[in-house]
Amino acid sequence: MDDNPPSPDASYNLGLTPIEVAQKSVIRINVALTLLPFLIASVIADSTLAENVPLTRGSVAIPFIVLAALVLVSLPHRKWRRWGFDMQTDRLRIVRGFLFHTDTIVPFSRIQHIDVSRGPIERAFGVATLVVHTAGTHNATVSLPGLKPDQAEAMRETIRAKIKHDLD
Amino acid sequence: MTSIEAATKPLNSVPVNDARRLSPLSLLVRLLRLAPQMLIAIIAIGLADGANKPYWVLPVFIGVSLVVAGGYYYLRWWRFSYRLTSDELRIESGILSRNARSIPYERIQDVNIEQKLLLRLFGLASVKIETGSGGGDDGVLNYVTFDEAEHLRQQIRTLKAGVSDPDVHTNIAMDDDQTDTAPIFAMDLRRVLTAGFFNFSLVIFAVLGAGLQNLDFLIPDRYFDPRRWLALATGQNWISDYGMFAQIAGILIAIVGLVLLGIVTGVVRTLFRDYGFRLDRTDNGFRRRRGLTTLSDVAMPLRRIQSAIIGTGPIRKYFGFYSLKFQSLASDGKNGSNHMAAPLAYRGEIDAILAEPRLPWRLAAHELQHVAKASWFVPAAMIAVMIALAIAVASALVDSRIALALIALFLAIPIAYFSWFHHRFALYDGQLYVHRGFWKQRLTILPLPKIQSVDIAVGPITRMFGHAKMVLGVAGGSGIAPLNIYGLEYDQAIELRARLLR
Repeated sequence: MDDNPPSPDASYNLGLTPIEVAQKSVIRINVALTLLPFLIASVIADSTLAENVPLTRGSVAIPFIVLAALVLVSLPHRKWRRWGFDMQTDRLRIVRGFLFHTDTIVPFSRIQHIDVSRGPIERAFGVATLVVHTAGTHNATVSLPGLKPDQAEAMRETIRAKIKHDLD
Repeated sequence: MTSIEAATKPLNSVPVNDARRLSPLSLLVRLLRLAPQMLIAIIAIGLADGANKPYWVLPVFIGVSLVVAGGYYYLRWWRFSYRLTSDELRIESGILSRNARSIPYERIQDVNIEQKLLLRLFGLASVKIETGSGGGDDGVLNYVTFDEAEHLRQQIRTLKAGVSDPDVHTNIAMDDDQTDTAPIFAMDLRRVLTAGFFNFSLVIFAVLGAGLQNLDFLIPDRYFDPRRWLALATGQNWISDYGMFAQIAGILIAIVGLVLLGIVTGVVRTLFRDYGFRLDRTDNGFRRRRGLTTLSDVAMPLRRIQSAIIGTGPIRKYFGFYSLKFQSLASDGKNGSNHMAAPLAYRGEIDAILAEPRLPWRLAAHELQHVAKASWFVPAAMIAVMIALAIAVASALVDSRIALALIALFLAIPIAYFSWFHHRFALYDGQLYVHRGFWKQRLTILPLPKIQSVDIAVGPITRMFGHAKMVLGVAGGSGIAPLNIYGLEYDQAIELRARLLR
C-alpha cells in the first residue's frame, strides 16, 4: 500500500500510510457544516446589534467570517496530515488528531465485527470509512476514514480472515 | 482443522443464500408504532383554534404524515438487506449513508428472538445478534417473520458450528448447583461492622441537600444570600463576642460531629448491604449473597471476569485490610459493572479468591514503577501560578480575607504530589498492574489477553514534555474513566504497548 502518491511529512503521522487526499475535502465540508449554524447566528447577531447599539454593520459577522475562512483553509489539511494507519500482520494501528493526538492499536483477534460505511459526502469524494468494533468499553468503535472503497473492503476481508484463524 | 480449510478457501466468503430484505409487514408495524404520537398531534390540531380552521386541515395533515413516514420507512426497508455467507452475517443498511457490517460467526455469542405483543399479532419477530462488542449495538433485524427468525437462528448455529471449535460453546451447564459447601469467603458480623467503620460516608448531607431543595419554602429568604454569610464570616455577629477561643472550639466540635455522623452512616449502610456476606465457588464461577433486608444473590461467571481491582486506604492498609472487586461483563451483556467480591478481607483471603480466576496478585503497590516526575510538578506549578493570580486579583479587588481563604487551595499541590506518588504500574508475568490513589488506593490487575485496544494519547501540554498517556480498552467497567497510565515517556509508552500486545 505504498503507492499512495502524496505523502505528508512523516513527523505528523509517524510515517504511517496516509489516508486519501480526497478525505481533506470531506473534512472541509464537515467543518463547514459545523461552522454554518455559528455563521447564521453571527449574521443574526450582527443585524440585531446594529439596530439596537451604535455599531457598524458587520462588526460581528465579518471577523467571524474571516476566522471561519481561515479555519476552513488551514484546519482540514492539518487534520488530514495527522491521520495515518498501518495494517500489520496481526493488528491495525491508527494515528489521528490535530491538537490531541491519539495512536491506537487494535489486535485483529480482539475485533468483534467490522463496518464499511459511506456517507453521501464520502461517496461524492470516492472514500469510505472502516469501523472496527471491540469488546472494550473504551474504544468500543475505532474508525478509519479516508480509504478507497475497495481498499476498505480488502482490509475488512483481511481482518475477517484473521479472526477466523484465531479461535480463542 | 478449520485453519486448513480457511487457508485453502478463497478470501471472499461463499454466499449461503441471497441477500434478503426484512419482512414488508415491518413497514406496517413501524407506522403503527407512530400511532400514539400521531394521536397526540391530531388532538393538538383538533383543539387548536377550533372555529376558523378549514375542514381539510386534519385529513391533509394525516395524509402528509403517512406519506412522509411511510416513504421514509419504505426507503429504509428497501435499502436494508442481510445475507448469510459461509463465515459471516452481512448487513447492509442506510438510505444515504451506506453501512456494510460484517459479523463473523466466531464472534456471535447469542442470537435473541424477541416478540412483543404488536409483533406477535403480525407473526413477526426482532432478531438481535450479540457479539459482546463494547458499544452494544450489534446486529439487529427489525423485523422478520417468526419462521424466518427461527430459521436464521438455526442456520447461524449450524454455520457457526462449522467454523468454530465445538468445545467453544459448551457453556450450557450454567445452572449453579445449590449444594452448600464451605464458602470461599464470608464475613461475620464483626467484620461487617469493621467494614462499615471504613465506609465513612457523608451521603446524608446529599440526602439532606436534596430534601432542602424540596423544602426550601421553609428556609428564610436571606439564608442563601452571600452577603449574610459574608457578614457572619467577617465577625459581625454574636460568635465574635466570645472571642477566638470559642470560635475554634465551635469549629472543632462541628468537625468531630461531622466525622461521627459519617462513621455512623457508613456502619449503618454497610450493615444493611453486606450483612451475611458470603462468596461461594460454583461450577462456572462465583456466587455472592449478601444483605440484611434486601437479599441479593449474584452469579459471577469466571469467563466474564476481565480484571481484579484491589482497593485499600492508608488506615485499612495499616490493619492489613483490602477489598476486592471484579470488573466483569454484566450478565445482560449491556452495562458492564464492577462486582464486589470481598468488601474487607485480609491478604490471604484475597489470594484465595484470586486463585479461582487465576489472577494471582504477585506485586505489592510499592514494588511497582513510578511514572515521570514532571507529571506532578508541571501541573502543580501551573496550579500554583493560577492560585497566586487568583489571590492577587481577590485581594486587590474584593477583600484580603477572601485571599486568605484561597491559600487553602495550595493543598492541591501536595495532592498532586501524592497522586503522582501513588500512580504506579508494572508489567509482570502476563499481567498489567496499575495503581492509583492515596486515600482510596486502587490496584488493577489486568491479564494481557483481556486488553481490547491500546491508545497512546498526546495532548498539547504533555507534548511539550514528551509525555504520553496510555488508555486501555477493557470490556466492562466505566466508559467515562477507562483504565489509564499517565505521565509515561513517549518512547516508554510505545515500548510498553508493544509488550502488552505481543
